Amino acid sequence: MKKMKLGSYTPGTSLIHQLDPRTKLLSGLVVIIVILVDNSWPVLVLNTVLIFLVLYLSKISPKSVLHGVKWLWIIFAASFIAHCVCTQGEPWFSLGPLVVSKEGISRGLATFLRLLILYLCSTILTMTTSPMKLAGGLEALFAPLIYLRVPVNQFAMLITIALRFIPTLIEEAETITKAQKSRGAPFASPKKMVRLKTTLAVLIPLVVSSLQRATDLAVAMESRCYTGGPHHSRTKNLCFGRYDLVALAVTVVICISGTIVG
Amino acid sequence: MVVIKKDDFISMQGIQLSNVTKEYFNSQNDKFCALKAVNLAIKFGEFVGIAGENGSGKTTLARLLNGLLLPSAGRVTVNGMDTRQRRVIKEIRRLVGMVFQNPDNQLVSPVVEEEIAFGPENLNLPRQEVNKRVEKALQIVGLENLRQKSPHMLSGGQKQRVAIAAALAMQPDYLVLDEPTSMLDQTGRRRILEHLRKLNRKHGITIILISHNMEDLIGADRIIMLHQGRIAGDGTPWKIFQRDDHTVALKPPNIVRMAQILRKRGYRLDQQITTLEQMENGICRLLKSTT
Amino acid sequence: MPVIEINNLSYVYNAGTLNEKRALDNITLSVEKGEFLGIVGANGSGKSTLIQHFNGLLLPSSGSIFVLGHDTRDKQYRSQLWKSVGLVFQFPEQQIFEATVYDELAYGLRNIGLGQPEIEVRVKEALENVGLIPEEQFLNTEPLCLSGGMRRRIAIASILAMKPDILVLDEPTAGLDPEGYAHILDTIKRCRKNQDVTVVMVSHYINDLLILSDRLVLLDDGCLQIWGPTREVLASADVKDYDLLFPDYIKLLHNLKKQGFQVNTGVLTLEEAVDEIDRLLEGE
Repeated sequence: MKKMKLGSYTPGTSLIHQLDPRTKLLSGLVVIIVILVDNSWPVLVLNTVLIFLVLYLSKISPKSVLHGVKWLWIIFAASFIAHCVCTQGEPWFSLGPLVVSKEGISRGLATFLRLLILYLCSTILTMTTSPMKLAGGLEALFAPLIYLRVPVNQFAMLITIALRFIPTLIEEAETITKAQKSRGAPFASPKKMVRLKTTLAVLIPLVVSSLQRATDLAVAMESRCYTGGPHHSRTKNLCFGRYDLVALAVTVVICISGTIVG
Repeated sequence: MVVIKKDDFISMQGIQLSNVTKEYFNSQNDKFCALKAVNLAIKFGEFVGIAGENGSGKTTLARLLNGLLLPSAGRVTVNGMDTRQRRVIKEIRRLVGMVFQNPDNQLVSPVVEEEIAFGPENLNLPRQEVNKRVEKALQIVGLENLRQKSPHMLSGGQKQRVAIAAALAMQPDYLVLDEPTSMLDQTGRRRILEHLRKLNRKHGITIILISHNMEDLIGADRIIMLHQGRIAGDGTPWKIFQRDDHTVALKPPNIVRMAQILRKRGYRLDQQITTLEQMENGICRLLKSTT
Repeated sequence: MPVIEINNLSYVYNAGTLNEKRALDNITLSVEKGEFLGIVGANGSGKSTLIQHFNGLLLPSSGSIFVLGHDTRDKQYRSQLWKSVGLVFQFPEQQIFEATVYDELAYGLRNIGLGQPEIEVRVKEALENVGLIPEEQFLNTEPLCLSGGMRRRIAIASILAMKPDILVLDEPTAGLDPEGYAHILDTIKRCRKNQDVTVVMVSHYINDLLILSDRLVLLDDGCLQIWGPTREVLASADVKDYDLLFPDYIKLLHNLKKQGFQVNTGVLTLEEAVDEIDRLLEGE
């Protein structure tokens, strides 16, 4: 039932696990922006090295990350091939009617690396950071927006509650699906409309119970004096230490030097 | 200026309901009266059971106690504070902890520890104080080793214990539990009841336990029966179990019924038998006295 | 003739992962046609996992299960099994999704492919069976407007309407108030009277099952501990190991027996227990 889902948090004590979530969020953001804005080779190579270094330091088995999803590799491969074939330039070799250019290979490789870095950045972030810390990190980073009357605290509470109830909802959906199957719900019907109605037979009860749950939860929260304020266990537990400074500095230096050389 | 009358002093401690009526309007705009002119005093330190069938007003009563609902007429006071006064409502909610029926629908946080910290943090307590209270509450309900777990991995009984701990972290005087055992299995139910008794005896917390299972209420100091929005009975469990009125469709516990039937058949069993041990001893004594 | 035959059935959740859990361990069991089988066990003992094998929602990790004479591993057979094995889940009111009571009850019947006249007859019959009468009053009601106990009766009726050969109920009385509880029990008693239907009922507390069951199964941590005729199970001394599953009047008799008194511990109801004590006191 509860399979190990890709990118789900794997508890650990590695250096990367211990970093402040804000550090990880910011560094990830910097890396992603740089590789999206500047696709020169030095930037890509340096960032690839960086991300694999982080992967090594996080002590997550590379296998679990890289072999995680097959379809992702299909996308990687497809984008690589598409770039190879569709880019005009000096022909290198040809395969029947398809002409592969040197520029194509280089652009295909660059795209592949960008996708890989994007994927690894997000996966390592979620695998080494507990959802609560992530929510706390986001709340802290967006805290200045409170002055613009953006309800940051309430939003963080929203994420917290979502994190709490997603597993419950999944379980409930599984049970309802089984219950409807027991009444012969045609989940595998060839007709689109029938399948739609069958999906509704699971969705409607799920929505109904969620509304009931929301009502109950609101009462329970009110009973415990909730008024929409900030939550320390999310934000105050964060501590920005020496390693965070080093990590941020390394990221920034690598990104800047890559851009300059490129 | 606040004028304190003489009888206000008497009612400072405890919860007072004086002439409380609560009306609802349904979708057709019909008036429905959930509680009718209820007068009730709950003393500090009591273990009170509230029983009654569905629609008798049990849940309405519970929600009036911490100001989740406000009376349509009459007044509810907690340690002398009126629930209708907005400036004391936070203090009232702190004093009167609530645990609800569905264990799943009252926990907000994905981690047990943070769940328990939720209340104290809403009170804006300093970090160390919050940690201290979380520690204490975990220890009282015996969940220290599950502190890092996510609630969805716990059993129903464990979830209810988390909910109790979460209420305890507010350091309440009163704990109101609205059918906390009805969705649990026997192990979970027994555990919860043991904890409630301990909280009452050892920690001096007033327990107000709502249940339609009379077995749950055997250990109470006092049972209040509700029927159609009115108080239909108020007394010790034993006194309530002896009642033979058919307006209240709640069966006394098995052992009590057994004792009643045996006594009717002429056996001279001891008075006030409510537990299995008492019954066993009673029968043994009878058997030995006849030989 | 057994309608369900289970041989050495084991079921493992998340096989091969860190969360691997053996939910059922080497269960051998059979259910006779027309019998009422009670399955009792604490939460997490594997009751729900077991009954989901009955209509092919789960397949054994090892061992086999034959339902109405066929192996549920046969995919063709399994996909049609829901028509003959009606499974009522725990808290079945959660599965209600149609806008009217009539449509909710007709859902399974339409999936079977019955015609309109037959559906109407069966819906009314099922409503009567769960005690929601007069039926006309309920047909066009919105299920969400009804009380929890009534919604549960509608969910049960939606399975009854399909007229299954085997009716399986998972904790049908859990979390209900005394009134709702009594209605559900009445419904189940009515089902029991119908000799053509085999009923399997699961509960974490034996009380409901005592007067209904022909035979009882006791599950503990995925293992079948006791299986036999109800009175024999109650009379057996093992009862004291499962303290929380049995009602206190039965425990009382067992305690008295342990003290050396001649007591028949095979009683079902409180009244029988009182009679037994009466006899004991009289005899001395």
